[in-house]
Amino acid sequence: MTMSNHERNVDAPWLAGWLLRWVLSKEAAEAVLGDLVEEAATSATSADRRVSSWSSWPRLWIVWQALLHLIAIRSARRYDTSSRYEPSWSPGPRRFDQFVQDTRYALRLCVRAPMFAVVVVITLGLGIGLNTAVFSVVNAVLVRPLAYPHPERLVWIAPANARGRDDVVMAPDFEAWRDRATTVERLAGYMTGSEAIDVGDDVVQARVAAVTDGFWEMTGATFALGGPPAAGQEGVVLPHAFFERWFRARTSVIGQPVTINGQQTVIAGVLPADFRPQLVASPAFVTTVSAGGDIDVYRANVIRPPEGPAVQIMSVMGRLKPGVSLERARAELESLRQQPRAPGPGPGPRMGPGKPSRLRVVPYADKLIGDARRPLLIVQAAVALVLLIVCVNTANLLLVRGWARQREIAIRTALGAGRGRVLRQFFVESLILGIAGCAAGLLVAWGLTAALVRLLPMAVPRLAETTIDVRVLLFALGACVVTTVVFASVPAIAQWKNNISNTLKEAARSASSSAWSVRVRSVLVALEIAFTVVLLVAAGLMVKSFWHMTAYPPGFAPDRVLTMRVQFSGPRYEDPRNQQAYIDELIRRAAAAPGVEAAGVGSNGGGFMLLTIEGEPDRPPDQKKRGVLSSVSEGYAAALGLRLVKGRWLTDREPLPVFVINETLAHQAFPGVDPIGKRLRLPFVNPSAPASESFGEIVGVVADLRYSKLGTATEPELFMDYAHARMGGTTLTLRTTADPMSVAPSLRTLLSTVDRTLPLFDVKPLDAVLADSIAPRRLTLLLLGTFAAAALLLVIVGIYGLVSYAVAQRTQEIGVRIALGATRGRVVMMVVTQSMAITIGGIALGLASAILSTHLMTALLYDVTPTDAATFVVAAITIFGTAFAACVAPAVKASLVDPLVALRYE
Amino acid sequence: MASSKRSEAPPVVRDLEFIVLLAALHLGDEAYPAAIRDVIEERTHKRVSRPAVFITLERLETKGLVSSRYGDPTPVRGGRAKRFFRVEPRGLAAARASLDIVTSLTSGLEAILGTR
Repeated sequence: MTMSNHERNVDAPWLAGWLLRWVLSKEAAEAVLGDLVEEAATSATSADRRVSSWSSWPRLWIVWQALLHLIAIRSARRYDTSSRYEPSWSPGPRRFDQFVQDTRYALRLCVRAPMFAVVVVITLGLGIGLNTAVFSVVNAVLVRPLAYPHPERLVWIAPANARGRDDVVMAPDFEAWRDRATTVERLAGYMTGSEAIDVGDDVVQARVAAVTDGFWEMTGATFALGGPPAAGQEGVVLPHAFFERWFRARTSVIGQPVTINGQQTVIAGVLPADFRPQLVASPAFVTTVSAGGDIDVYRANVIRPPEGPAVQIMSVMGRLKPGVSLERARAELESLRQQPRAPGPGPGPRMGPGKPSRLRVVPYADKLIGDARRPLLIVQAAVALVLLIVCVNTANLLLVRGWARQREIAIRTALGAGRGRVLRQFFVESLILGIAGCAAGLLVAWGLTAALVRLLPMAVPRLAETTIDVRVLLFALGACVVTTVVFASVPAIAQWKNNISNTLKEAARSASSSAWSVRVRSVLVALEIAFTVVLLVAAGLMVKSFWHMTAYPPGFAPDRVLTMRVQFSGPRYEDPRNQQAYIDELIRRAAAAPGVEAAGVGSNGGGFMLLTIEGEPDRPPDQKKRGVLSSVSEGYAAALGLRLVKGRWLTDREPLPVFVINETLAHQAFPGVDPIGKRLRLPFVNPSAPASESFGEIVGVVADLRYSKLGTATEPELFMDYAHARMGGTTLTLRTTADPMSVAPSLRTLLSTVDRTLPLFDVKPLDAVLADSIAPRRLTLLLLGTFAAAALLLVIVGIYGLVSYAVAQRTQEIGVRIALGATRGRVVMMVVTQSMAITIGGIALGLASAILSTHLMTALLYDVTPTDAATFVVAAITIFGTAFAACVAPAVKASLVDPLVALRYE
Repeated sequence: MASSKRSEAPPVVRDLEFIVLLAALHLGDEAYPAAIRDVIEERTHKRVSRPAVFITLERLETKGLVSSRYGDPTPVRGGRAKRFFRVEPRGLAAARASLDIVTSLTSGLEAILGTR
């Protein structure tokens, strides 16, 4: 065997040694292992012909070879009679044979009592599957690094605005950092938004990211076709999915012109199908596109010298140089930002030296995951509880069976089986159930993961990346091993404690020999109940939050409202008069369409407006009241179901700009004062205009309505008529007479003829929009609810099993009681009382743990305190009722014992 | 008793036993399972599985045709010793006997077998 100079160190896995030791002496096994290690180490580097396919998995290869040796040596020794080949030194064959024997016996037991095996495997599968599915999400979102080169050095760079939120970066700052920063290796700016792209036969609204030159290098992108746009040049890069769908995967598109937002550019490249950059959406007040979802089109963001007051803005990601701390990078970037710039057009640093806005430099992965971390960890903790319940339940079931087999075991022991041998038998049985349960668990996990990704792709960032990879498989394996060890050791210990001679003599019915087992099982069931209470309380709190979130006021029927969005693009719509003409025509046609009761437009959540009230002293921006401004039409209130509280609603023919506000804003800005008649500074006027023209009157107040985001408190809101507003796009809101989706296709076709270059997109019923806004909580609720339901089911199995067991054990005693005159009612009472004592103990423990733990989920709750008494009471009653139902049947069965039969029994 | 009986008539080795024996002779003092397998594969251009070589060596050892000893640990093997096999005189005799059978049966068949 030739040695290469480039051997790599391969460590032999213990498993390989263990396998070989089955059939070989220690020395001989070591020598074989040495051969394998040597071969793996040398062949990995010497382009060996056979090991090469394994070369990335040398350790796995060694285990595989050890297994082959094991099998070959076993069969050679068994069948090789010609040479009387039977080395005396090997302890292996007996051990191996016993293992095979135990396995066969365990399999026979499973076949003989299939229901037992099925229940155990389903229970285990549920527990392991739920855990693995949740971990696969946690793995994708929290554990797996971003798919960029050096993900650990990627940072998100943003100044914090007056309200503490992340703001956008101005192009001059970006350029200063890019050209002069020494702590940052590479910088890229981008802006996500929604733009109309002409794909030839159609104009589609696409999620667009406008990215600077450094972006492609930073993401380590490879290209399926073409390449990135040349530095400083316009150009478009298409992700593979968009390229296939809208350009039918024609390779000739490279270099072809394409129109985005009315501007012509060229297609420079196409990304491969597996490349999926993960971007934090740019701050939402700049763009109306919702966060989440893959980018459809990448466009070159060419930084031009500023013209006039306008300046380009962007979100910035950067890669730090190795060894640079976040704080050092932050300090340098902040100082570059504060330095005076060369004179010229465009603004200087925005904040005066007295009030520096603090720059934030945070790991990009943290920014991307955002608030998703805590709910995920809560869910993972909850699902671990389910696994604990599963363990307890399975241990319980095995105890029952162990008890039923005490005589068999006793006979085996009497015939010479050692304790270790009996224990091993128990372990092998548990192991087989564990392996089957693990397989079932993987199936469950696979199905559940696929379902989660399909049902709620927007719920958590990076959720779409969820796959069952090696790490998840290892997790599942770990869960299986831990579960099996836990549930297998309880019956084994119980067996160990059993006094064998006792069992034989007293025919397995001595009270003393089973008292320990009953006690253990009572404690296990109480624990199970306690875990379930915690899960029920958590799920109950979420349900109550949901109930509060989705309690709609009268008149607001989101399931009858259809919304569709339109984004103005192209030079034609830079003129507000064209925008208005378009909207007028859109509303006119929509209102006349069949099936439509009311139609209006509203740019809901267009942006925040800082309030300046006429006659009050002007305050610095960060002390001003603010409200969300929407530009709406007359039909909007009727279409949405806004209820007027005071004054009047807007018309489409307002001669002067006026406002309608909601109750929250009225309370915040005008406490104790009638807001009607007050005047607010208008958002879209020249600061130099005369005061009489720059204020608008408040003419009405409407009731609060949460119609865009359910998960938050009602925002203070202002409405003004669209004729006096300026907007980048709007949402058409229609109240329909029937299911909105039934009329949606025809309406969309009808309305898209108003202007073919403006696509109508996000056509959805309002209730779907609302549901999307709370998708993360829906995911958490769905998962916690599933876990609580599973736990409840397991508790039924556990209590039923416990009571049936106790009753069966006491058949004789109950027979005597009945013979002596106890009524059947008394017998039922006795059995039920005893099991309810265990239940109450479990509930008390569970409520105490819940009180201690639910504050962790405060952030997920809406309008519900973590120690909500009603929820706790309902959870306790639910589990009490469930436990009661589960023990009544065996109790009644006990009362029906015929005393004659019972006394003759055995 | 047994040894005197063995020395009378060397057993005939067949197939892989014969092949392994010859390969071990090629290697002399450096014969250990992995190297033996390499020699076989290099010279015959046939693949042979590692366990098969190992089993055959053990079988030859129980027949008393080869003997084994453990060498010194080497770092490339993770500090594990090699198990060297040496062909005993009886093994050599067995190889010769087997070869004799082959040569005596093949002589006169050169034209058909195309060996000459």
